[in-house]
Amino acid sequence: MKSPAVRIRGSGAVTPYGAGVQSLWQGIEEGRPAVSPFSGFENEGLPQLVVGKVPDAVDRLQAFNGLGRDGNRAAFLAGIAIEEALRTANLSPGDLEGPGVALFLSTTKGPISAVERFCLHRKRSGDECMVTPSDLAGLLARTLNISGTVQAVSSACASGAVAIALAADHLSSGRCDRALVVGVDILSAFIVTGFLALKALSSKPARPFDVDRDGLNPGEASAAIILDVTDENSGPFVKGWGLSNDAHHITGPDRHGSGLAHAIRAALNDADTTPDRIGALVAHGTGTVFNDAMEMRAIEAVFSPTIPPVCGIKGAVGHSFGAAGLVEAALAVEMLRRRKVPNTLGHGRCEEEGFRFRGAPLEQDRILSSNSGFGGVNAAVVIGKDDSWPL
Amino acid sequence: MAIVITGGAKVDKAGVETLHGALIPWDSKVASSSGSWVSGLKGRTFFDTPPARFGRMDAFSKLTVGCAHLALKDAAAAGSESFPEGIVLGSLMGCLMTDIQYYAPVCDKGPEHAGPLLFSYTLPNVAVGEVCREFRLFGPNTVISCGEDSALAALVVAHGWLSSGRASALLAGGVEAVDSRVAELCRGDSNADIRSSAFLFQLERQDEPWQPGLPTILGGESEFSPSGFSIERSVDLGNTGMERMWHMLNMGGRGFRAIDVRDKEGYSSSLKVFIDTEKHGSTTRHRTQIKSAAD
Repeated sequence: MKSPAVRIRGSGAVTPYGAGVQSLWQGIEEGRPAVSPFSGFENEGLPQLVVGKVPDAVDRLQAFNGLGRDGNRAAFLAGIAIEEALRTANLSPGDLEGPGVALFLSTTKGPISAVERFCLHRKRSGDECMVTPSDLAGLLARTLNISGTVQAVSSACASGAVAIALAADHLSSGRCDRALVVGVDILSAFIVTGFLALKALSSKPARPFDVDRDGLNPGEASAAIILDVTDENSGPFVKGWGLSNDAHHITGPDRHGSGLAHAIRAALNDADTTPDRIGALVAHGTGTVFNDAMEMRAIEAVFSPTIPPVCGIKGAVGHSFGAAGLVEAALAVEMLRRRKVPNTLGHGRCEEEGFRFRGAPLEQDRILSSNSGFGGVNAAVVIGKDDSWPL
Repeated sequence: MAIVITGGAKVDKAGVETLHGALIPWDSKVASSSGSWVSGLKGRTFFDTPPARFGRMDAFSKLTVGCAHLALKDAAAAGSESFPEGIVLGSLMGCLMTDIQYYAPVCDKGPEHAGPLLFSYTLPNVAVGEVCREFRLFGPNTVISCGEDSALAALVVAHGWLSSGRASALLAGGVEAVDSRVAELCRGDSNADIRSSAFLFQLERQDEPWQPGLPTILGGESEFSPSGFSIERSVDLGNTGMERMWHMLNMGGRGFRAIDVRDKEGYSSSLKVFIDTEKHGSTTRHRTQIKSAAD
């Protein structure tokens, strides 16, 4: 199944390195993890944790059209990323107005603060109207005056890649002319308590695919990409996508990796490309024992005998859940621009042979980014460019 | 090529009903129970032999898995030889009920009282994962949320995936699981009229209709009205379009139909369907035996 190419016109991100895709790239290049000890949940009885938190300096920035001025952190972070995406796309806010523009929001818990407040006080706080991901998507759409399709996507940690897939689908079928895909999740006691209960957190910076990995670092981030369809040969493009389900367990991945392999093959087929044309893999790489083992199984199944260089960023910025797939897509664009695969921070030694996690030149013009999540969901997106890009 | 509806099921406070069967009302004990009927769902409501895991699921997952089972059974009993590869679920409220159920004890007693199993269910796509696991669906799947028409939008997404060949059959529809605490959070009134329900349909891509009279989904679209926001959220939460669609499918008749939903947040979706069925009659319908929740 082949889909028309969909152009990534602009991208933006806010990560624990700060605002901007460039700050993300520079931090990783400098080998400087942005995860750090955090005691901000002491009031909730939580211990000090290693997390990926957006630095306080970002709080002093102005988000698009005052988003988040009311204290809505998810909206605020999303607004900052949207600003950068507009700037890099060389578009004005007015170019996102109207019925021809769609918005897809990727988030796992969205405005979770409302639930936290309700559970703490057992009553609704005043004019609480920001409760569901749908509410957050509506707020972003109203702020940007978007009147096409607006949807919040909930596919756990694969939400970002799924949102890109839905947007690409809309564009290639002509249901919209332009799509804004935004991913955001904030650091919250709700999420941290849960992962602590699951014993999935590491007390140290996460070590994706490392033989001594022992858990993930929860984090927050936002990212935004602007997509459209064009006849021009200026990339980069979303070339194809694939989704699957392990049908195995609601939290534990299928250890054979067959579900993720299925999604990857579907994405390659959709992109009309083959494993040997993939220059790098941007992996999910949470740093947990089972996820990373599953991913390596899947990668081996699809790409053996020659596995492309693999890059994972969750050792650098933590796991930002619903934002992760969008941050990684923005990184993939940067990799294509610079023709380089960055290091996987936190990785030292792999128990499997054939894998490369060190920085390397990008020798092909296609990158495959994949994510997996609770509920057994797997998503893979192929992002590529043509020779004429960057101009 | 046509995208047809070959089976379906709905579960709401009136009881359980399949597209080709009749409504089975809840046992009076369940219907009159205070609080939310959705909190007391039993596996035997939906299954002859409930999955071992059913009792451990949250209400949102129970409703989703149970309704999915009935929809699949309905399609098979009506003669469908296809089986879905994936599922697209729409939900406005998602697992808010579970979120509160999980986090309230954490606030009261401390993080050591965080339940790992319940936390796992605080993502609505985990319900989708339970469906995939139970019925061995390995293909495309997701949950989308876009106002009260989330389920209608899910059907539009499924229609698109089927039309473009991403799958040959899918489950699609909407699930809302809410209780008084969700009503309190969203509306500030725990006694507000609340509405849990589940609607799931089996959709198939067919090169030509294998049986005359199958409802055919022609397509749909979703829009947003930036100026249409009202802070007063309706408590008739979600699945508004599904109720209309169910009624339309049961009415039968012949011709084009459109289901439109617009909510106070500004979301709107429309779905276009062509139906060509005899009016509800006994010869083409089978009776699906559903045990009461109180059995």
